[in-house]
Amino acid sequence: MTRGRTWTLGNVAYWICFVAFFTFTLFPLVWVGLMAFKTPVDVLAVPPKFFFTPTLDNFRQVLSQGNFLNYYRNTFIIAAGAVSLTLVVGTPAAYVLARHDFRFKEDLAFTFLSFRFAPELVVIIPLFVIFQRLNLYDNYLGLILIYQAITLPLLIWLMRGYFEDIPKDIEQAAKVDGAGWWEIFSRIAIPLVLPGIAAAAVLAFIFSWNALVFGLVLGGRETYPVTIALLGYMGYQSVDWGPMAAATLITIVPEFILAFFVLRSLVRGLTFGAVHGG
Amino acid sequence: MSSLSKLDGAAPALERTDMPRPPTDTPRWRVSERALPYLVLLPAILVLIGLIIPFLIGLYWSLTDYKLTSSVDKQFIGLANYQALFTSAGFWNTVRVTVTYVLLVLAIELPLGLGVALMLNRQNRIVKLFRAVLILPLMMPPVVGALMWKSMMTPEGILNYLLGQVGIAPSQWLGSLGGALPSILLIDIWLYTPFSALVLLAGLQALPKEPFEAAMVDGASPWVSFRTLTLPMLLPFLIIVGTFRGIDSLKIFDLIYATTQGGPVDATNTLAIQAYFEAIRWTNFGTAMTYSIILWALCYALAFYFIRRWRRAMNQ
Repeated sequence: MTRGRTWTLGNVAYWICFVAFFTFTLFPLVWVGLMAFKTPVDVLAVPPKFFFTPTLDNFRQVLSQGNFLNYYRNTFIIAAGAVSLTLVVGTPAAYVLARHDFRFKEDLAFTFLSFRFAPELVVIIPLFVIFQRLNLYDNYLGLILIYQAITLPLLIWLMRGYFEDIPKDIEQAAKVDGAGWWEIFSRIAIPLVLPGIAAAAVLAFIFSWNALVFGLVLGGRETYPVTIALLGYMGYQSVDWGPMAAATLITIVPEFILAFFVLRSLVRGLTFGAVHGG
Repeated sequence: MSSLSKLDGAAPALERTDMPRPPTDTPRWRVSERALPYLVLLPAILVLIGLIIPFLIGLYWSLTDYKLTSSVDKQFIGLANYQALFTSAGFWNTVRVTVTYVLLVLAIELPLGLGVALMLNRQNRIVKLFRAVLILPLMMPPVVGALMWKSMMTPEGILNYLLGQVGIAPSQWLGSLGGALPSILLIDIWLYTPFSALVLLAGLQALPKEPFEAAMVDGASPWVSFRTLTLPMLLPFLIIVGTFRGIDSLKIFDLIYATTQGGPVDATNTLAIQAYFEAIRWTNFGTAMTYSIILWALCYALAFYFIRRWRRAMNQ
């Protein structure tokens, strides 16, 4: 291999493909990012404007009018609640699935996983009726409970892999020294997988943040998540593109920042632990 | 269990020896080794039961004529809902739309993702930077991706403008019978090709070096070594991408709900969209659950098939 840039045919073709694909990937983000700073006139201008005088009116409108901030807070409460509950319920479960042998272990592990691949409506449609009877409809607790369908399979499968990655000797040595199960779990295993827990929690939070259908069916005016607020910018006759773009940015920028911190674990997380590295 | 902790509490007399005992501030529950896993799993199992019970109730509803707004109580009607669907053109249309969508997603996103992965499999600073760019569509709500593209697909929007610049006639995009599904597919490709690219890139980076060096020494062309070495060794990763993308596109909802809601007419009406509207718009909970259960069975079958292929690929 020669170092440096030789303009062979293959090399030129490579960079053409490269530029084409990343233009395709980045253009919508840039375009909608620009739209967020446009006046209504500039948004609808024909031909479309790439250069214009930026305005913060859209952001002002999103943050002051309507219930966008309420929806934003709802999403935060539901996602944070769901992740917290999943951490408490799922981390010990993942540890046991990684370290102990018992009957029905794999069946149980796959039953958790199956909810990742089942269509959400299969559970949500019945819950639409059940939650109304239990007073869990349009209720944070109800949504936090059903968001376990998103967060728990992810956490259990991801953390099971991280626990399996630690060498068994440390725990064995502690056991010989007379440490109990809880001590080994909380003082030895947990500190060793902390980065994994952080990655799993961040991903579970992002997936919860992105969810739509749970809130759509089981939420109401008090609890609708931000994804539904975004859909609200599309009226029957017209669409408020500018505010929609601004709201979109406010919704996704925190996610990008969070994701950046767990970049190394993303592929592993996205595949529920099946693929390492990346 | 309280008696066990009492027994434990009776031990202090022995504690004065020099036995190295880690300090504990919690009582030490002595649970039998065999019961322990189940006890620790109990909260997670309760959550699981909380998900399975509504599923079973829904399964039962699919065997009834349940209509939420009806004043008459629901009646058990056996498989009549399923029979009605299997003989209805609307149902077969949703199946056709859904299956077409899944096949197109797999046929496009797998090869394209592989191409992007090969493209990014270089040690180069620019290339590394753009690996991070790939995660942006993956981290946003699908609804947001859909709305972004929807804002570009308006009649006077930027896409038609750009097409016009290169002399192509404007498209109706999401608004036309023939264009709606391909438009949604385009959004899907934008949102999820990064997923297959990142997974396959991880696969490429995990490949052993020796077989490729040996092939080069033997004078094999890049294409031959790609076909006989890279592809077979990448198979487990291709199957994982197929599993996730196959099943997620089978149950696709968010993207379509945010763009066409199944329209125009029923050109993008998938099983999940139809199930949702049967329940929420028309309160036909029996029929809605029949659609959902059929969709669930298809997802299950696909997952079963892929997991078996994956295990076989891993054993080779």
